[in-house]
Amino acid sequence: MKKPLLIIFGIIIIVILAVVWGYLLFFAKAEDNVDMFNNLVNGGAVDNAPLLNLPNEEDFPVNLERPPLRQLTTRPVAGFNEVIDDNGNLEIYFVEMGTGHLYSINSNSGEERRLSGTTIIQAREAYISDDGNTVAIVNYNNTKIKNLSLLRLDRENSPLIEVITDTVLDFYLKNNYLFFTSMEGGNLVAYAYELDTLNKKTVFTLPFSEARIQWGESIAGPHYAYPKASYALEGFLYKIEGSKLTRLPLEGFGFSALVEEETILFTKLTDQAPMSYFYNQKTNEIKALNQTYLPEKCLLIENALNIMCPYDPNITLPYQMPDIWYQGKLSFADRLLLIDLVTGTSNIFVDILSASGREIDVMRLSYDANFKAFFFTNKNDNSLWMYENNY
Amino acid sequence: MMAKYIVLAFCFLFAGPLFVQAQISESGFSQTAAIVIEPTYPAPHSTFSASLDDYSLSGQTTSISWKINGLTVADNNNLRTINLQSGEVGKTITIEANIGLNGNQSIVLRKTVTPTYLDIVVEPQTRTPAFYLGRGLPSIESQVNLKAIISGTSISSNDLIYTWQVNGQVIGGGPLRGRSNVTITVPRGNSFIVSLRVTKLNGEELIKKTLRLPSVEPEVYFYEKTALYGLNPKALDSLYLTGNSATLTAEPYYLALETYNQPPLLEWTVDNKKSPVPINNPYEITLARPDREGRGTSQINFHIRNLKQLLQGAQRQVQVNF
Repeated sequence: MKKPLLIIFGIIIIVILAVVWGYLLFFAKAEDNVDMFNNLVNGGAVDNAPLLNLPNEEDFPVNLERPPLRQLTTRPVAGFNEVIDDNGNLEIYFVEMGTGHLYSINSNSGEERRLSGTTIIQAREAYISDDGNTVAIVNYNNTKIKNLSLLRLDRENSPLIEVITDTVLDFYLKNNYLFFTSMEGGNLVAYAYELDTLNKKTVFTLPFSEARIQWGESIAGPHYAYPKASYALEGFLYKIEGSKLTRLPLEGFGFSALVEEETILFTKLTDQAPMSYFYNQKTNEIKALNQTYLPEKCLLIENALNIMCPYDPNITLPYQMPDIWYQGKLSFADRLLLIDLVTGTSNIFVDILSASGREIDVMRLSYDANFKAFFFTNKNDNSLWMYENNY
Repeated sequence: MMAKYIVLAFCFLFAGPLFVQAQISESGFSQTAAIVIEPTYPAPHSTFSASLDDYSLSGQTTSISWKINGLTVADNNNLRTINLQSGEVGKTITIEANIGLNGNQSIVLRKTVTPTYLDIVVEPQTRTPAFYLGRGLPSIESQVNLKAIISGTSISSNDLIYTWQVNGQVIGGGPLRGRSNVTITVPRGNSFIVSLRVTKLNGEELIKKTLRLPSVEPEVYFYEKTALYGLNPKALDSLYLTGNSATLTAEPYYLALETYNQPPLLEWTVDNKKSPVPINNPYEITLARPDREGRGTSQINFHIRNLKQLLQGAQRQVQVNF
């Protein structure tokens, strides 16, 4: 091809490109707006969600009612009690696990105050007196050597800490006494520490140390004791009055019990499965119950003919109870049942799972003097919960 | 004269056994006819039976009448076995059987029953965590404390003779006065039998009991621990590492205390690589999230064992997701 022809073709192409560019620059219209970032689905269709028809904010009702079941703490609780303050308001005192700090929660306002900042490291279990002035705290570091300390908020030099013993096995604060057990010479010795006089008295002696005690109202008792439960070992129930040890006609493998004045709720293995019974101390009658309860979780309702027990209807208890529950291998989503002491029939008092949406393994059930509020902790995280009984 | 002596000697020779037989029969009334209680040691507030064992009596039994605590129970007349209800612990019941024999003879048999409890409280000296509310279980070659508690007798335990047996072997060299507590070593096998016979100082048996005890394999479970609040008592199947680190505690159950306190073998492995055993507490390990970005899982294994007694050990693995 000749050189002039090449030059002519080149000029023509440049002119055409210039015309096209000029047209696009001055006359072309942009296409509809396409958002190239709204679809992260490769090749898939995108459904546009319909817009919600939202009402005006003024239309929303303001709910001032508190739910009857509510969580009081997110921190783990070593112990708690209900205390009536000087104005007649119900305050919930609790000891924070790990620190031993004492707090109060106003049941009406929900306000939380710290009452004692005295630190007792690795505090694990606590009892608070009914007037809120005395706190017994046990701390330990994963050993069975447990220290028992007493925090006195009513003393002039408060807070005063007295370490009662460093070998406590079990303890309980009731009325004017701090009860505790300690192992001495292969026996279990129970003491009562009088809070006013600071005198220590021996309450009873047991010939075995692996005992679970249900303390009475006074030094004289009656107190009750049984060897700690295990599915593979036999347990027996003893009644202790003064220094007299009386064997009650209740025994069995995996045996645990809760004693009311006349009635005893107990659970033991029967035909390779745990089963609960009532025993009447006056008539010696034993009645099998329809459901199986763990007496350690239950609560006696004083001056009433009921026992309150947590119960999970979805779990069939295996024969290794209560060991696997103690180990933390089995956990419950409890309801609270009220059980009639005479007939043994039960009714749902609170469906905790439905009311809270949480699976709560109820421990340390308690109630206020007016039967208006119930308290418990969740074994899984030791948080404190409250249920207000409105009827 | 000689013949007379011979006849007398023959008479004596043949008549002698007859006299001896009579003596046996006379004494046989009191030695063999008896009231038999079933079960042998009735518990308080329980049903038990009293039966007449009169088969060795030479005469034929023509009538039987029973008295309980001195009161005749007419409904039980001429029954060989009667059912009774025991009372409170320690409250003695006296049972009388009046047996009429042919020839207008009669004998009276008596038996007293005192409902007594013999409880053997088993306290295995094996390790359980401080938060554990139950009793430990025996494991091979661990120590077990056995404590006998007798209810229903006024005799002091110091005035009773205790004969303890483990798998049929008498321990302590024989019967021991006042030894209501003993410590035994768990023998081999999945279970073992403990029996106790308690006798009075005059040799009369007071009560006895036999029980089968398990010998379990030690177990180990993992729990999460925080510096402030301590151990969370919920056993972990797996752990989700939400923060930068977490402390995991291995809690052995039913391990002999000697093995727990001075473990011959104790090791942690992370993804099959040995991890240094923590100095302060060998049962705790702190896991830190790796520096690199991203997510993953790790298998944490804990192993403890007594190398001289290989069944005295436990091992478990847990998955950590991060």
